[in-house]
Amino acid sequence: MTSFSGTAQTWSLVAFCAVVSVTLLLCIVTGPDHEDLDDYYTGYRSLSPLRNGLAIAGDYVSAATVLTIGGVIALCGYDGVVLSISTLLSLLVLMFLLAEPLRNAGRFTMGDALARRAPQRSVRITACLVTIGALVPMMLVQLASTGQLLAFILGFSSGAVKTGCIVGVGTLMVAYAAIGGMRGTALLHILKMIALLGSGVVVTVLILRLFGWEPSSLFDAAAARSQAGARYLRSGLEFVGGPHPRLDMVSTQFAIVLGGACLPHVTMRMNTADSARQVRRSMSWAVSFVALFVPLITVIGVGATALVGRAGVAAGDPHGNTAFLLGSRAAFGPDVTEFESLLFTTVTSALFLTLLASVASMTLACANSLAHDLVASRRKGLSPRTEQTVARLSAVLIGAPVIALATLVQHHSLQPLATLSFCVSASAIAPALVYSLFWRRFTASGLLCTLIGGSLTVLALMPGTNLVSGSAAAAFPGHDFNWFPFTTTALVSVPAGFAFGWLGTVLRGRRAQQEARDRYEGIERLLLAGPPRRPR
Amino acid sequence: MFYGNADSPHPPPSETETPQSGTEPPQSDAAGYPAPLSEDLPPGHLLPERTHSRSTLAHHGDLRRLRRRYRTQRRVTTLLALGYFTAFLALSALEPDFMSRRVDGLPLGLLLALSHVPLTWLAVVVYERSARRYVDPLAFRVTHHASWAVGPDTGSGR
Repeated sequence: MTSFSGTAQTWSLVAFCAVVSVTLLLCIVTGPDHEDLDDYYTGYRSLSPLRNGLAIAGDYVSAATVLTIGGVIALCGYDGVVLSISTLLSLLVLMFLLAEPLRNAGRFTMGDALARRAPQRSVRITACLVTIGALVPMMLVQLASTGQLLAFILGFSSGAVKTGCIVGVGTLMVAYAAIGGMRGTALLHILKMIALLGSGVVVTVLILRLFGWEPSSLFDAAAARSQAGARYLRSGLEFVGGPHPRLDMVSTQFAIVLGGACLPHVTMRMNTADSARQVRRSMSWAVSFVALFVPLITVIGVGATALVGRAGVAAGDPHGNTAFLLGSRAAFGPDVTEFESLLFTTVTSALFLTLLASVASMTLACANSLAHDLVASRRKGLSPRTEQTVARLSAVLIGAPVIALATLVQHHSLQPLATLSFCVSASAIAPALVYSLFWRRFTASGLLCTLIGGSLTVLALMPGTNLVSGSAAAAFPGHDFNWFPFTTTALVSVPAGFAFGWLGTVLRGRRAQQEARDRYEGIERLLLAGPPRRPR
Repeated sequence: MFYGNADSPHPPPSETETPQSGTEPPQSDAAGYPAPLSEDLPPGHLLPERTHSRSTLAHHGDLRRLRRRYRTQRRVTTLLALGYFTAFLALSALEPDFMSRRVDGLPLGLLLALSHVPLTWLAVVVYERSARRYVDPLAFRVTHHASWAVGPDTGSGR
């Protein structure tokens, strides 16, 4: 079973066209004001916490998240559930630890927040490069899987059409980012989150009903058809191939916890609220929505294995990326009514919208960083209108090569790219943000060391990991240059990222540290309480 | 917007405060400073000069209290969240037999994993309430304090 019935395909095609035209229209209608830079970079600062929370959650739950976690849950059971918990925890830690000071320090991009501590231009340039380095692999993952996903939903198999889908979706993502800006993508995310959660709840209820409202019989049925038996319900199935499965599991989960929420497109959304208090309330909603999403994707992923079987899930995609769809489809049973067909179309449209929205907002984060950190920091006094134009052009500049690369990598395993994103985020961005928001003596050179050293460590180790070569599921199955016996680089690169920042600061001597300390005291009130208000 | 271009550093606090904040150890107690809310004191009996310095001192105490509350809140919540998760991960990795014990038909490990969801909701509610009660009033006082609110940076964002 690799394709769906003709009716559902026609419905889906119609729905996709409707989604594209409605969202494009929305982006044009809500497009930002040309004269106002705040408007372009932060969207509405006036969104209510509930809506802003939906937008943040939507930004956070990317298509890669939905597809990958759904797949790992379906194929590996327990380990997949732990993965979804790590994803949730990551956003919770972002809320508790970083969100409020980040909002108080930041303005538009991650570079702004870092520049509060170290105003050098080199810091901004590095921040921009790391932003692009962390997000481009993630965009590639999602764009490259677009072809296969749409082929699966719409039932075609020609390679040329798949490439066409990638180019089409890629063009759309650039259009959303360039036309809609933060406002447009915020609306996309709100719509997508409602569609995804709404359809997810319906499917979950249907699956639970099939198993007599008894979660244990659902899990047992899945274990029975998982070809792993009881091991499906205990940890270790995902990492069973490596020499140190336990260590590998722990380091992977920590890479997700540290890296997931520090990805720059998520931290950029912190600036869309108008004060730290609003950020906190928005994050409360966002975390709650993501927490709601965890049981939904667990039931749908496990349901896919229970209803279709592991063979069916693996036939759709060897990494299980189609499990979310297969589970939803199977929930409706073999005979579908018109109404059920329509419901299933909602699921596919929600996924399609997720894909569009997440690649668009990642493009936007890269483009904003290019325009604001790289160009506007070089040429002072750039008019808001020019800076906006630069940001829009940057979206095209980032988008075009990403589309081209995505068509090239679509036939390889995409897991190493997603892992690369998380590892760069956990090893370079997370230490940089934690140090610059909380460590008084942290100097500019420490910041640069963290960002550059952390990223380079990841880049040096990544090609040697299990995911790139040495096994049948790797990106280069025919080669074996696997020397780092883990799936992620986090075990070495995260401590390395923190150590680089510490060394870079300590080696600079007392004077630089004292200067950094004085500077921190100058901005401390801002970090703690936010920007000043007009007197009452 | 409210604050200035991010390219220019934020202006240092006003002259009266800088030396104090430079010499005070950051974690020292706020004891010895006048009570906060000095804006509400009747100003008539005090010389203008003293009112200013007194309110600045109070403001300083507010800032220190705010710093301490934020720090406590941040550390406690982050450590609790990460600690629970780490304990769960360690149990999963080291005691798989214990974690696959059945409770109510479901393996204990899965139940513990999914227990993160209601606990997250609970944590968010508790965090929000405690922040509203302990942090927001202080932050409000600090941001609305005169020496800060009429700073040269105000309203120069555009």
